[in-house]
Amino acid sequence: MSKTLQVTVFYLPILAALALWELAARAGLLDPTLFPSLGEVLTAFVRLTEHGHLLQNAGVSLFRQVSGFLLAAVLGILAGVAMAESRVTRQILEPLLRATFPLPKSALIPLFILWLGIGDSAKVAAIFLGCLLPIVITTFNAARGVNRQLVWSAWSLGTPTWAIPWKVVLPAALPEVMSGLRTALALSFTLLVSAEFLIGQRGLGVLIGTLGEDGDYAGMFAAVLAVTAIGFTADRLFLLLNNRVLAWRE
Amino acid sequence: MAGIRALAWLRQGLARNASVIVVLVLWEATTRTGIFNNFLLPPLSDVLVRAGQDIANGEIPRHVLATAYCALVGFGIAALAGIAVGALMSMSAVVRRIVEPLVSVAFPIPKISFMPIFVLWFGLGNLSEVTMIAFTCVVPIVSATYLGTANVDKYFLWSARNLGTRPHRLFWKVVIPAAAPEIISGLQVAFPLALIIAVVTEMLSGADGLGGYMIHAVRFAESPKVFAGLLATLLTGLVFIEGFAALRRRLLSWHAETAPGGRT
Repeated sequence: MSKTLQVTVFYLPILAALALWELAARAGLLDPTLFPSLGEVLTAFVRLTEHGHLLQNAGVSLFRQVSGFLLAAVLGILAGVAMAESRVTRQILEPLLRATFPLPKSALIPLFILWLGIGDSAKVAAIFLGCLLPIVITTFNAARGVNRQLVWSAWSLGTPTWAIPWKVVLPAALPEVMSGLRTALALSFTLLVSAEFLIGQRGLGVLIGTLGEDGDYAGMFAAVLAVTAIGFTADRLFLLLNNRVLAWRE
Repeated sequence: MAGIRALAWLRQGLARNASVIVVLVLWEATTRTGIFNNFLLPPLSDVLVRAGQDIANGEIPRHVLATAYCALVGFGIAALAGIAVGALMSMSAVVRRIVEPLVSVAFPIPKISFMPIFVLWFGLGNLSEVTMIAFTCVVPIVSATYLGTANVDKYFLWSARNLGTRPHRLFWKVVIPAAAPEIISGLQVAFPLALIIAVVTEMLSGADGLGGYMIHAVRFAESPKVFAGLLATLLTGLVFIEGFAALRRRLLSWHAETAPGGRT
């Protein structure tokens, strides 16, 4: 079986559900004011795309998500490896992480609205801090679990001490680090959409809210599906990156 | 003797949390000097006083209970449905064929984006909040239960069958206990999500709950209240996470992982 055929067969139940949705709407089983048909949603999707609403707001949202997530990934990995390799860093950061970890991350959103207002920076900050903690913790646990014999061999082969964390420890911890990043990626979209639902003038969350308030439910469903598609695509792209980055492992 | 032990315990506690204490002291000290805008960062003592008042007048306890109630109900529904569906997936190829693609799509998507749809259907209130929480939590529970029950050690199943265990007893007495560590891990992944979603939905509706408490504080520019809400939310999260860890140790007390030196 070819790859495309396999994928189609795997997702067949989803296509069937979509077909069922359309059929139920046409048969009059769904209240059209509460549940627009798939056809109406697709028409609304085309209309929103043509007006440029969807793309503009998606651009704003993706900018926030990418900035917050990348910042959290870079600093989180640095901090996690530093904690595993340096006792002082660990003694400073570990109690702070332990104390803040149980916070449901969405509770940060009001704080950043208070501090940074309703624009981009509040959303980027909430995504950054919300994703930072889980990334630091997974990286720290992964780096701490790296087989010390790898470090000793690198050392005895002449790797300078300063290079060990980045040349030996991080690559060895990479599979777990990547899976931590994947979890954080999903969280970043949740925080993004939540913050945009709450407040703001632009972004996909804002668009969904406005369409709903205007009573354009087909448009609202279309925008929700667009967010869903973006989250799903981001995850699949991350998996491709994951396979590439880890291709050197057996 | 007891005094000495208490002192040693206190010293150890202080040493283990030195950096947290430094941050808290710095927070109080710098905000008292006035170099920060006290609206943006009120002194810790003001926050604690505000938290104390709102605990005493029953406001914070009421919101904690509202959040905990919705989170637990939504999570409970997701746990029952998720364990059932996950177990069915490992028993029936048809169920697996139908549910697997749904889970693989539902896993990475920001499920909170469906909130306006649930509000449209169920109105703003507990019903849409609980639905949203259940919808978010069910996905990791289904997936963990399926992986756990599908990968039960075949020797357990063969031995039990050999000894004449009937299919439904095999399921309850062998499959579920053997998969319990994975199922409980799935529940432990899902519960923090329940709290995250509960707080967000309360912020959106402004209803009772910690999210509602904090968002009203922001709207009325009462910054000590925002921080009091953050502390209350943090402690609520802590109690639940510790509670779950304790429950896990208790439920799995028979399992090798809880034995001294066992895998964790």
